[in-house]
Amino acid sequence: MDQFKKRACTNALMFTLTGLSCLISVAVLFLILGYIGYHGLSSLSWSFLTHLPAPVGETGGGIANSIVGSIKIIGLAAVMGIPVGVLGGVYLSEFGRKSRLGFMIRYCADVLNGVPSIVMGIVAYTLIVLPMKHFSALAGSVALAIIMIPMVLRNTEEFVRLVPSNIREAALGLGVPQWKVIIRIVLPTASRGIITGIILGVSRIAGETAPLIFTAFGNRFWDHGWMSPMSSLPLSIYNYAISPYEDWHRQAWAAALILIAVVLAGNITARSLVKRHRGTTH
Amino acid sequence: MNPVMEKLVPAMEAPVRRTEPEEKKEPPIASTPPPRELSITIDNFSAGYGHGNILKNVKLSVYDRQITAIIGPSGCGKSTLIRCINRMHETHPTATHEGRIELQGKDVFSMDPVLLRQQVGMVFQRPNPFPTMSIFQNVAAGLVLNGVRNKATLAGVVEASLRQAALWEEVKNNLHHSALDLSGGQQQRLCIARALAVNPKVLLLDEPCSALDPIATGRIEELLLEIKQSLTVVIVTHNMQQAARVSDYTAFMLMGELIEFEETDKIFTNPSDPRTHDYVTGRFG
Repeated sequence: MDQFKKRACTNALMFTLTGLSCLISVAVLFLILGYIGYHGLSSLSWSFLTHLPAPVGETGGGIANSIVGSIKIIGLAAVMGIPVGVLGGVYLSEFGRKSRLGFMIRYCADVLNGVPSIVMGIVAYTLIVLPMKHFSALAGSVALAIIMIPMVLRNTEEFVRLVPSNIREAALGLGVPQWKVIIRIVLPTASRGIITGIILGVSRIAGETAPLIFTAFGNRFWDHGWMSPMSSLPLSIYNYAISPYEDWHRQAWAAALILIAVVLAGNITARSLVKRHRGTTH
Repeated sequence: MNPVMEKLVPAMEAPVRRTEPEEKKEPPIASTPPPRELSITIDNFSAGYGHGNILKNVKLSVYDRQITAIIGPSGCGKSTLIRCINRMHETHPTATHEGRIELQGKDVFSMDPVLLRQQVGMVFQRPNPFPTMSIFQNVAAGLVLNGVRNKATLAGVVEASLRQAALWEEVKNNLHHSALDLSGGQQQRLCIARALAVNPKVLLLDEPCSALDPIATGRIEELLLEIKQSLTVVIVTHNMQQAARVSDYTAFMLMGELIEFEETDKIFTNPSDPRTHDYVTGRFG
């Protein structure tokens, strides 16, 4: 009986601890959301979303160019990073499972995943900004793509690997060539996990500031194409937050709110698309 | 050249078939069945993973439009043997094989494995419908993935295959529901329908009922007896009653060797090898 009491006690203690840890981690999210909402909402207005920044010294103005810039830089990074990551992940899972090359790629991807993002910025700076002799959105996108690739790659590999081998065998046994088995059977089965990984990757690079500081650089006006400096939300937040002006601080909060909203909206849309895709079987 | 060869090869095989009854030392009891067409000939065949061999010098003839059961204790190589017939064995990275397997006189190892598998369908131990596809899409998968687009053709084949697998009446109103909504037994019949849809000459079944209850098992056995009218069936089973119920021929394997291959009645009533006798009477295994 005593033994039982002790066990019940331990159980209650551990249950409370695990529950508390969950609460803390979720509470942090809501704390951040609430704090940013509290500070940001007051400065949020339609003109803030649709106008260029005001000249230095004047109050008001918006972040329209940062929103568009963020979407463009992230979009190009995704276009470069997603195919490489997904195809590489398929290679690792389907062909490089036990090979030496596969092991090496996996190891390198993990190391790359741990490299600080500012280093990726320096890489893009050296590879693109220095030869071109000016900052460019392209360099920013390349830096972000390099950050994204190992994440998408490893995630895709994990989820493709999770597809049960009996499903592959069923398809091979029907006389379907292997490449078709991968494209038509394995990838759709793993699609949910792959897309979730892509969403996580895109969300991660959407908030990256450091690699953009000396690549995309930022711009207080509309950009002049991929080869020119371009503004982005994290850069604007950074620039406004470190400024000495009260008005800019308020704008930094509002921009942060927008950034979070954009990332959240992207997540929810992508997730519901995956759900709908899997819901209908016709 | 090729069509000529195709005609020649079965003709060359004919003597092998005629010598077959003579190899049986004891002639089958009373009614000798008429000599049957050979579907698969396995000769001096060994296979394994890495360096060890699981199958040792197996020699086996499978007759056309008959059900051949392969029985034996776990690990005796039954599954490996049938996985070699449609060359699924070699999808394993360390798989090895040696010897000859012929499908209607043609060496399977000189065929394109993709084309071979279209002729030799397979049903696996656990039902494995494609999880992202509907019932209809599952059955049509073999055709669709190989380029058949015509909707009327597909609908016809799907209905015919589901009828053949005795599943049509149960699913005809839910063809576009997910295949995962079906019960285990229905899923297994769906997998049989999917294999039949590509119109194979041979159907290999690897313990198809081991995950099913007796009623679902009974339905699958009924449908095997039905489909043997049109194709060759090879079934690996742990269940000796099942082998006795459905098969025409039975092969008994032990530790990678083929111990005895005979008509099913003979294997179960009067086996020539004492090890077969011990196994079918339940002394071991």
